[in-house]
Amino acid sequence: MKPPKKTFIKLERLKKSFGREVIFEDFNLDVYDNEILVIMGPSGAGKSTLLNVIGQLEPCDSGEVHYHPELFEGTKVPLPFVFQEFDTLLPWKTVEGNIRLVAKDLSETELQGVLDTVALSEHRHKKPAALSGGMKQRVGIARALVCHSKILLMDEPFGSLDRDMRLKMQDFLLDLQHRTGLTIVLVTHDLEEAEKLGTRIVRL
Amino acid sequence: MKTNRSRYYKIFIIVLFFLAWEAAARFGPFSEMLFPGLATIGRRFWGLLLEEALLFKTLYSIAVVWLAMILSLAAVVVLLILSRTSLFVKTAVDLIRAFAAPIPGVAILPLVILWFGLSRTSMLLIMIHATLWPLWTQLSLAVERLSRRFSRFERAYRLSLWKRFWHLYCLGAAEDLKSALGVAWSRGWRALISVEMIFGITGSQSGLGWLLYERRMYMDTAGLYAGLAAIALCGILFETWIFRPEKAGEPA
Repeated sequence: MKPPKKTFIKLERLKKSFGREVIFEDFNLDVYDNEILVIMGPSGAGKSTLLNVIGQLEPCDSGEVHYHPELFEGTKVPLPFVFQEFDTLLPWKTVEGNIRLVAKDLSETELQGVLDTVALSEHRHKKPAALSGGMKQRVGIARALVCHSKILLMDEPFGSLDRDMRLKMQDFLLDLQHRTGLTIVLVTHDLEEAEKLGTRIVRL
Repeated sequence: MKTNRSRYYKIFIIVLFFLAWEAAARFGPFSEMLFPGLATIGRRFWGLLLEEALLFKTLYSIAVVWLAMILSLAAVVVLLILSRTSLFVKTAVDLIRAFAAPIPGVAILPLVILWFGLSRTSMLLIMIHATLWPLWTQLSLAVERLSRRFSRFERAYRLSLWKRFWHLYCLGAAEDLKSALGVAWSRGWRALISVEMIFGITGSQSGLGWLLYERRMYMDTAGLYAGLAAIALCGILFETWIFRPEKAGEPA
């Protein structure tokens, strides 16, 4: 018999609006351990807003968000993001510099480990401008991984990539999740991507 | 290739200008007192250098502008930090900037003299007025741009105050700082020369503006041109080389 799934994040009766426009109302959702939860919907449906609320970047108007205490153990960044825009990488820092920025006491072994995980070992001294879109996104993922968090929040992470690179990155993410057992909450508007990656899919 | 050609053109234009100057000085209707030849100006330039007046006054002027820029930069950093924490401060500084920035430094000099007399404090205040606003304008825009770009990142990763200040904003605004310093320099430099020349603020030490003022009083026209040449050379040195903005595709 399988052990019951741990609920990492529980959203209860959430409401969020911008002015008079209600983005979502009476919204309930559970995020379980070791799953890829895909939030999908058309542009403007409030996917990124929902992710921001989950990631504590935006408050909600009403309702509650409960977090499993385990999420906050052993990490200073419990809810790391991987953003769609590559430009959240610091162009004046190298790959290594970008990763070290978020993890103060990162040992050389740990850094090498995470660079191997995202296949960027040979590029650690390069600046983002010298990397492809896929590589930049892998730096973003590496930056999230070094936070030792149990969850990864991804806001349309492959939206700016061409189709080939997007497919490669999707395979990479599936493999990464399989190896690490990370919980991933991923926002996308691409149905194909949602079906390929999602353990569960939530439509907004 | 294009750069090489442009360089040759520049050299050609300068040679042409010198030839025209020399021809006008030798064969023109002007007296030597008004329009000295290049050799006379060159000799006077060298003479002033040897007397240490030109070198000393140039260094003094550069030091005053730098001092004003450093003080202005420190003030801008404090104002930027405060404006990040309070919308009131940001609105207030923007409003004061809108009123104060268009006023040339020389225009507020009479008022400053009323308050502080013909002193070095007056000159420094004028210089700070001349350099503060260009620094504020450009750096506040840079901080706003960086803040929009990294706002979610810095909050999601809970970056410490120091990391935000240094790694995001200081390093991120480095190129803007260089160009803001360039603008501040050119405003400060012009303000200093004007202030010294018009009002002759003086003391035991004075700068290039005062040198021009003195040369005019002694009817030393060649010395006047030598002083002007020194001002132009300093302008070229700082505006074209030291604070030159990076061109696209140029290594940083």
